[in-house]
Amino acid sequence: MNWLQTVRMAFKSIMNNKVRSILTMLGIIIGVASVIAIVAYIQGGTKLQRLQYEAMGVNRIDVYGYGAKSRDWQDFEEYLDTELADKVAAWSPQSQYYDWQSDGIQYRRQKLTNDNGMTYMYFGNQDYGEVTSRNISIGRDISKEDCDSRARVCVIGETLQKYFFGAMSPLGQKLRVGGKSFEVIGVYAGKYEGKLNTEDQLIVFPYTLQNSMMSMSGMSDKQYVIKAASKEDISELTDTLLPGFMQSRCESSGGYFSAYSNSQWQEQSEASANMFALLGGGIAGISLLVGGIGIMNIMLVSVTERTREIGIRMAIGARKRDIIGQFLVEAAVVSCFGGIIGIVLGCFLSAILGNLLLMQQMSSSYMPTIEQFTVLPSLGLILGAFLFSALIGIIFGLYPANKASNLQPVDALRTQ
Amino acid sequence: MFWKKAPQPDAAKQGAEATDLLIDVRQMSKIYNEGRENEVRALDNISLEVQWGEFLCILGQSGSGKSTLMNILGCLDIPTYGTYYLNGQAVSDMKPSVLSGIRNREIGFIFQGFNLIPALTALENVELPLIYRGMSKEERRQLATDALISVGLEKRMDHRPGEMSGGQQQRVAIARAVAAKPPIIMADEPTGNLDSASGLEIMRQLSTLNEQGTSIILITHDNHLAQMAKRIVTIQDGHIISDAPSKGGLDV
Repeated sequence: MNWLQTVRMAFKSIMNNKVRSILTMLGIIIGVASVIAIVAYIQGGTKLQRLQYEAMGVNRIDVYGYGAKSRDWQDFEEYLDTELADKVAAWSPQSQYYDWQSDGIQYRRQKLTNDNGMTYMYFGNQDYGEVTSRNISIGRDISKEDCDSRARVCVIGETLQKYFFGAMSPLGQKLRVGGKSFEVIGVYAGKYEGKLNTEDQLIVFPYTLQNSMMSMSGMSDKQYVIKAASKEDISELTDTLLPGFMQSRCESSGGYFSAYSNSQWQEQSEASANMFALLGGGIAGISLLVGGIGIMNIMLVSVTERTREIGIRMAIGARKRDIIGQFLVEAAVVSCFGGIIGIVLGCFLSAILGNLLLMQQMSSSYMPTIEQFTVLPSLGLILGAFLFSALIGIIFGLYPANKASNLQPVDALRTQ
Repeated sequence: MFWKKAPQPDAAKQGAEATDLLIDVRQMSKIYNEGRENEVRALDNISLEVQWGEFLCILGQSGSGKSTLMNILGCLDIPTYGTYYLNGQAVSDMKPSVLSGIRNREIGFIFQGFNLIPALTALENVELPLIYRGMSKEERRQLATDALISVGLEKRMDHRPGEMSGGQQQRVAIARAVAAKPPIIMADEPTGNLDSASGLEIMRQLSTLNEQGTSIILITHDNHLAQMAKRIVTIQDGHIISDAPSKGGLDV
């Protein structure tokens, strides 16, 4: 007797007992669906968080320091360019120019002030866009020439573009900031749909303009953003290399130095999310186990009920292993079928939960625009859930199947 | 167990005889609860030889041991003592899984209670032993269809047992028994649950099968019915008390 035949027979006997089979499956269905939904939900949350982090800049390191002489900072920049060239993909100054210094941004008669949310105003170099993972959508980015020639230009975020220009092209228009006017040369594509009070509310000037716009004290503070060449380089840079070079220089005159990357924090939070996924999945897995016991129960009833049938089958030539196979496959088919339904249900559930999660995150404005974000279980999770439910069917089917196959044909035939 | 067995004839003789006979039972006993107070000797030192192509009836009242004999002859049960050769194979020593194969290949069963599987159609019931034999789908469908046609049920193939009369169900059982053309058909009270007309029809079909060369062993308590066989072995209290040709035919 071949496998296909056994599976076909199992299907037949399941179809003959539809209600009972569905009730038996219910345990597996609920178990699989909840495992998938819980794990997918947590994985989705982790993914969302990762996307949020990546919106700030991939492999980004923020450096902040003060107390060192400007000569030291020049050395630091050279150090980044030369000795750390293979670990640092790009870097840029990120000196912040505050609203209270600028008294808002003005285009003709229109003004954008603090009342509309904070505008991020930075002095950066030609790599600023790359380091902070911003792409130009209109025009061009700041160039090295702009920096060298101290050109009075700026690149704006999508919020400013929408606010001042709407559908009109912003290129070549002049914005007044801090009493000076700057030509708009480009726009960074929005990460937050160009909403107010997000990081899209941004304007970037060539870093060489900094001195002319801000009055510098002797002990200036410095900010840099650095893009590490790879994720693996981040901890070495933040923990040893960067502080090793600058910390003592800053602290020698009572200053402070820090190099920080949220990737470490992100790794930790991902690790704890994984643990939650494991825990949640494990708890839901218990219901799978209960479902398996349900299968065993119903298979035992089925063996008792079908003792005579087993006797007939043995009388006409079924071997022990045919009978074991029949009941085992029946249990496996029930639980696999339940598993498949559970997977489908779990996918729906995680899609619904995922949308709730997304909505909840969207309500806080710090949510990057994500195209077609779905919280769907991974292929591995689906496959794992399916195999696990099959395994449960087989394990819990073994005892009843063995019991059936050990019946004596004479005794089994005598049963009414 | 082994040392308890009855003395064996020498090997050469054993082999020679085994090939000649369809059934060769020697000094066979079946004892339940042996050595205890409630010991039952269902069969006591029975010897029986059946040639190929015979139509044998085992006749006995209920409790005579005829069902036990039938179970052992049908390889559904094993004797406590003695040897049993079926078609040259010593089945009394065989393991259950091998016995399954013997039942599947050598014997077709017809039971009083039909013993069809209610969830399967007539065709599927007839196919079942062929499935266990590992036959291809086309081949077994062909054989099962032929068998059902031969018992006159060509219009009932897709009906389940519950949708058929007793006579029809028993004909399905006959079709199942003969589909793979085994050398022996064992019929245990095949007409017991049927009205006389249907019973007669079943008996006719058995006779036809016998004329076509199949050996038939009929187990019954009905002296009248037994006359349809060619040889009648009467069993009482676990002993064979007579073994004689029948008076020939059933006068209807």
